[in-house]
Amino acid sequence: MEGLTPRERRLRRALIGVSMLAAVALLAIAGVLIYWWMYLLGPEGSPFTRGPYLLRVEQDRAELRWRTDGARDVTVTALDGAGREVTADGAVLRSLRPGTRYTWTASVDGVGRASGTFTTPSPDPDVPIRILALADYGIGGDEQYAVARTMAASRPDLVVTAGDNSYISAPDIALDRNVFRPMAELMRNAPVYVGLGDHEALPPGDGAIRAAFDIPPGGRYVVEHGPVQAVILGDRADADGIAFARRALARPGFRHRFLVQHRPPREGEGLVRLARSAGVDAIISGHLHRYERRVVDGVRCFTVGTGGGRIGADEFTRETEGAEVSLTRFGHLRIDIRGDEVRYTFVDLTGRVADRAGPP
Amino acid sequence: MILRALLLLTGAVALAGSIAVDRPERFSITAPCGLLVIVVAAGAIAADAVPLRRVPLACSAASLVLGGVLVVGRGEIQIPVAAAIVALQVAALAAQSRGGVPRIMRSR
Repeated sequence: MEGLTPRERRLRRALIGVSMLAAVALLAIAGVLIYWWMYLLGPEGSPFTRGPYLLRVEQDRAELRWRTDGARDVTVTALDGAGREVTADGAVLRSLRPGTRYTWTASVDGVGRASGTFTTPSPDPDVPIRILALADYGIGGDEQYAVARTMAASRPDLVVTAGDNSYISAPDIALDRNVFRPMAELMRNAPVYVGLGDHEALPPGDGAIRAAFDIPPGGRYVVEHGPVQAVILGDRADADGIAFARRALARPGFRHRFLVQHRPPREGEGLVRLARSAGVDAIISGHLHRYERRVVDGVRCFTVGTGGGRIGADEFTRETEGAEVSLTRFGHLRIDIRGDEVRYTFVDLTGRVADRAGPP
Repeated sequence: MILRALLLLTGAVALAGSIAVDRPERFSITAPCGLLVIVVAAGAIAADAVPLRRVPLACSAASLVLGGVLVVGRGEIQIPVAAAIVALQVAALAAQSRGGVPRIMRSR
């Protein structure tokens, strides 16, 4: 480069080299950042802070519920096996076909953010139905997660809980940790009908969990799924509870009936007499942190206080006298109904069968 | 001059590649060419700045920007971009050959 001194030429060459090196360095940094942004950066967090979860499933409608971080436009669609599409009106899917399995997707801002399945009850009473039951689970621990996983994997038609859904009480702030997060997969794939226990009665009371699951005051309501009726009675059926159960059990049209009460029934109780006279298949309870299979005054009774709440030492969590089976193992009860036949299986948190039973 | 020739060659390869190869395979030609253009154009900017040669400097700066477009550009934009890079080098060479270079560094 004529006109430049040797020193200026050297400086110029150095400047060119530095410029090119700087460009290489900037390109390398940009490459790393772009690669991180495009391929390593995970997806955005879920806009759902709770759910979506199936609130109830009926023959021609299903209702979901959720919470989002701020006001979000959530669209729910469901597809049946033949590819027929149903779009929800808000959180309610209407005009569903009975006895049909649906896959639903909840989309936020045009992106599917949650999916699940459910099966509408069939009018055919011989269609197999799987009900899962658990109680005393809401602690947010490893055992609860394990039990919930095995439950979700068994693709139930519905789930009933027999109380103590959240320890040590059930304020709104604890429900996500104790109920909705551990049970998320299960609740996306089956409606969970919640019964209340003594821990829901502790301050601040059962208002939050009743609101979350649309449970009436007193915790008594009826679940009807095809030929199956489950009467949920809350912590303990007092005179009003027994009257409620009597009215519910008087409704015709059900081949199988179950009573769900948090406290295990005892001999001579009015509820047991009612259950026997109404031909109830079984009473499902919790409270005692054991799995127990009993026959009380001729009525099959299961205690499944094994959903995840701590199981104490045997001297404190004592076996009930007269129990046919009594186990201190975490797990859930599977009730398989096919026509007139009902089979009960207690599945522990490793997915193993710990007990099997038929009718008494 | 070496840098200018390198830019011209790279632009010509990118142009030929983007004409001869369909999308998306042409990206394997145009993207390395674009990266090379960015690096070489950065050196060319320094070379054209000392001593200052306004037209070649503008051509080098524009080439650097077009190199980036060549890397990230989608669709048929790569052909005109590569052609523009070639044209810029021709213009810069023509300006250099005309002489009359204003200098900011005083010669001794």
